[in-house]
Amino acid sequence: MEPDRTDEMEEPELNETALRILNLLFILNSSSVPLTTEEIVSDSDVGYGSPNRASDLKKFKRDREKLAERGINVKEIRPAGAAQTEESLWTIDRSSTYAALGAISRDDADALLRAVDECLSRQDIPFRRALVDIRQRLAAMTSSAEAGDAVAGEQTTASPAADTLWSAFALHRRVRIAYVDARGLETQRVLAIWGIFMQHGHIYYVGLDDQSGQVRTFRGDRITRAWRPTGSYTVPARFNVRDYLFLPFDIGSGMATKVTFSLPIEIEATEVRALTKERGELVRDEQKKRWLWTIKAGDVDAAARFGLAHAQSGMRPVSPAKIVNAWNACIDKAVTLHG
Amino acid sequence: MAKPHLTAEQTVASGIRLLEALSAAPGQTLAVGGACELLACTNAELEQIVDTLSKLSSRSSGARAAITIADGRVTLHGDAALIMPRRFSLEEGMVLAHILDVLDLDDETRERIRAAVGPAQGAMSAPGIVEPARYGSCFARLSEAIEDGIRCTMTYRSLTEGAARTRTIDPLEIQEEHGEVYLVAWDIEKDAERRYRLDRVGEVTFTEESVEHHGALSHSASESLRAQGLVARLVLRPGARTFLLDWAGAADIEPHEDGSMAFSLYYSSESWLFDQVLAAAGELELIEPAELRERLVDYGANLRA
Repeated sequence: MEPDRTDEMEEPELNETALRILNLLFILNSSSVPLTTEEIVSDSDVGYGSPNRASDLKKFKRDREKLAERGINVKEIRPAGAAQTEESLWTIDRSSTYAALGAISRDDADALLRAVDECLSRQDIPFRRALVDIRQRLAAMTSSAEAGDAVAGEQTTASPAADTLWSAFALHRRVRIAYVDARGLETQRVLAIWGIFMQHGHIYYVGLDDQSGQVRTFRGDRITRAWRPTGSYTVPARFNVRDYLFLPFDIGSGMATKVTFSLPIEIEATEVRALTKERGELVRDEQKKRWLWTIKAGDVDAAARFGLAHAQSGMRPVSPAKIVNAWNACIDKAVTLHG
Repeated sequence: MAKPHLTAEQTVASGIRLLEALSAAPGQTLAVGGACELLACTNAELEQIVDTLSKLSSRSSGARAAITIADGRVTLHGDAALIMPRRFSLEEGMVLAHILDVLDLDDETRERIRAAVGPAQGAMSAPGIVEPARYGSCFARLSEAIEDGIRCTMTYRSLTEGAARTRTIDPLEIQEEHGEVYLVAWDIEKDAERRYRLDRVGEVTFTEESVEHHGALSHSASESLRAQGLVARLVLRPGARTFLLDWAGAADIEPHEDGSMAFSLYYSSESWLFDQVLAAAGELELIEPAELRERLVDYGANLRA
């Protein structure tokens, strides 16, 4: 079930609202011709038809917006040359609402299904619920029994709060969380999630934290509880969550140093992307037949160790002298131990 | 039984999903358990949703939605409440865009999918979700070959090779281990099972042949490394970074009283092993075989910048 996104309402009102919205969909979907405003707002079976027409018109507008949130777009039709006083006609905008049946080929649907299944086989995904929905809706689009199968394997989300956090992120709503840090200290804070990344089998949420007033990263499995998301926010255009994918030499004392490594030009671009996490600056040096990767290192010794661990891929330190020296020092320590 | 208490939004969202699923289902019927799984709801909540839907009616046309729960099945009767599958929402479009990015499906396929089922408003994009690239650019083709049992040729550069070389393989499965994604395949020339890191696969071509059955196969990185038979004994110094012991080939870990730890390491590439020992900067000692120690010293000397 989707996380609760509405304020609590009394049950009769709640049922009336849900019934009215679903009924609006039903009458528009089942009618072979567009319906007039009058036909809709005077229909007490649908849930309008009160003595207060202005109120019914407002409800009708809100209900159209609610359906639009579910991807069902109700469009207004005004025949060409119609007088201003003439009332509108309403129908479901089929091209923007419904999938183009037959437009997705069997091969494309299969490719999509394999991609969805690959992601569903992983534990470190924050949007499992959405993927399961996508898989089941693919079944509806392709009439595929295979796509409609229950999803195999573990059905649990990555953390108890994962579905709520995903909804908060997707809808850009603030969310109160309970977070246990590495020392076991639990705090509550309100987070505006600006981005999500997955690395080393964990989900990380990056966002503006009300407690510190800064952008912080929170590991998903340490978020023990998430409350109902409320209040909207905007993610700054300059924010790029890729900057938060971490490398083992990011953190160190003092100022970060820009270091440059080289890699052979023969390496597949996909391997270079995997190795560099697409961070820093990557330049193709055609003259010397190499890639040059420049990245800020908080800990230069750790950067040298990282480079050495990938030496078999052809990674070598280029500049400054500090990284070259650190590289050589690592080798010397190991060689001395074995000499 | 606890009284269900769905919000209006939950009832609307689930009601639409249920109508959509029933419309697509053979005979417009679903098992109650399947419907509950689809909507992630309880039986009582499903009854509430069905109760709401069964009240739908149109005064102008006289149509009514007829939906019932009986004999463990939820069924939609007649045509009045049938609805076509909706396009994916912006949220679903965002998830789709992310997985298509990560798995690097080609632009043409991506555009066809977007046009057919993507959200009508806004581009299908995934701002704010990232993960390190590790599937390479051939996931879609390899997964298709696995599903259809197609023998392939592929270019691949191993750790011990300076340039990519073409191999003929029977692809078996894609595995994720220790943050890397591997293709497990039968190398036809070597007549043995091999594992290939997906981000090192260059180009995949389908042959006209089908895969053959190759008998019982090993199915994990550690089993695959053990099968190759290269093993070294190492000691991790006290206080050293113990994550080194997470390597797939690590085995026979033996803690010592001084806090150091001896362990065996199965490996496939000598240069990889040497790089890890050098990167540990004296925290990791290669104990045996003795000749490997000697080669490490030479290797290290040649690697100085």
